[in-house]
Amino acid sequence: MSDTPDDLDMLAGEYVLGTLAGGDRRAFEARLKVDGAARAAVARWADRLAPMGEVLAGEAPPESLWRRIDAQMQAAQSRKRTHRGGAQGWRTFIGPRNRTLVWGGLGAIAAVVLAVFMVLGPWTGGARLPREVYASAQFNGEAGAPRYRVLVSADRRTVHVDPDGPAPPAGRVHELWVLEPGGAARSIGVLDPSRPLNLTPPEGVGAFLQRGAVVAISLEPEGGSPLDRPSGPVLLAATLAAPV
Amino acid sequence: LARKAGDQDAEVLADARREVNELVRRSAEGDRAAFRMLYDKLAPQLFALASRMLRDRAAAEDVVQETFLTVWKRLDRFDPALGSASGWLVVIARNKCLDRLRSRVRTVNEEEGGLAELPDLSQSPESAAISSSEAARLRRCMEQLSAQQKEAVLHAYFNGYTQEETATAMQAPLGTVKSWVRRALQHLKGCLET
Repeated sequence: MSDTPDDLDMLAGEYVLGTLAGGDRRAFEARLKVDGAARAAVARWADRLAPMGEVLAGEAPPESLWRRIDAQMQAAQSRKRTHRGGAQGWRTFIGPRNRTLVWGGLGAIAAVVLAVFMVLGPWTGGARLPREVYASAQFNGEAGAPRYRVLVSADRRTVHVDPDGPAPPAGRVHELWVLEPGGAARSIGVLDPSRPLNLTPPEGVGAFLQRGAVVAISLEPEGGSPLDRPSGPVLLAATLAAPV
Repeated sequence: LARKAGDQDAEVLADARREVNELVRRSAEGDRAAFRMLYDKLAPQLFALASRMLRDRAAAEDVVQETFLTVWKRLDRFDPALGSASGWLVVIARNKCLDRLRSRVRTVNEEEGGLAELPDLSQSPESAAISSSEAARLRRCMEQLSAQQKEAVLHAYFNGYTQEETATAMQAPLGTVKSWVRRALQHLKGCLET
């Protein structure tokens, strides 16, 4: 990202205050999933502004609220247990502690890159893999989130996308975006969750498909976002990196 | 003497933070009693804030519920080196409120968005003793803002107003509101660091 630490800090401040809105907010949320400096800036603003709410007299919610939360935690836990086919402790459900994933509470973390798929040689259906791959990214959401692998050809005129996960709800589509260094999102195209695709990025967009650039997937109405930015929620973000 | 009192405040604050962070750590290891204690400690403030922003107690309960479930699923990802657990929970809860507000159609008029409706930072309830020194510091920095800068920040924080809505409520041009907010944030950052 090309912005200065001060710019980033102001963006983070506006994000925490809530004045960063619309497409700018969604673009910043996508960035938070992959940019540790942005997450740290948000955490600092969270601490600066958190005492603001203390002016309101705290009020304990009704006890029934805790029972609802507790019931949902137990239900989630028993689903997980059934899924794993054996009794597992709460800790197992929560998963391994991973402190390097700092502040991931701000959104689903998408794993970055990697070459596993390349080694496995995925099924590529009608769309050929680029002969020479310049960069790749792997979208790995939490359970139930879409999964896609993205490969950018050496000439950056082709973006090959392999789906490997749940399709969007009926009447909605997944759209792939790349973020400009300034944070604005540029559409690469609408994805097909049932088969690999070769997308041709619109004129001028290929230049942003650099290693280190953030790519993101949003949920959109059929045909893609009616706006020049995501109109629906950004589901996942990942960073383009050199193929290993 | 004043310095000593300040040091003591800072210690009390650090203890309160450590206590909440410790509850998150224990919860992440599967200690459900710790998670319940975390809820008891933070839910009242989150509920008050969500009720204030949404002006709907049932929706505020839903937000608190979603917030704690989100936190529960992500306990292992919290890093105390970056910030306090309470700050983390407030951001999650406010973001959930903002999402709800943005999906509603609402009309802002001066009367309902007026200054009289905004919390008065010069009055802090006794119940807010937990990190009162930190709140006092923020309050002092807020008081140094111009009246409009302060009002714009309060509209955003407590009403969840977009800058357009604040411009309507304050009868000011959007560009002016944007610069009030930016300058206010710049001032708060500098003021809170000293």
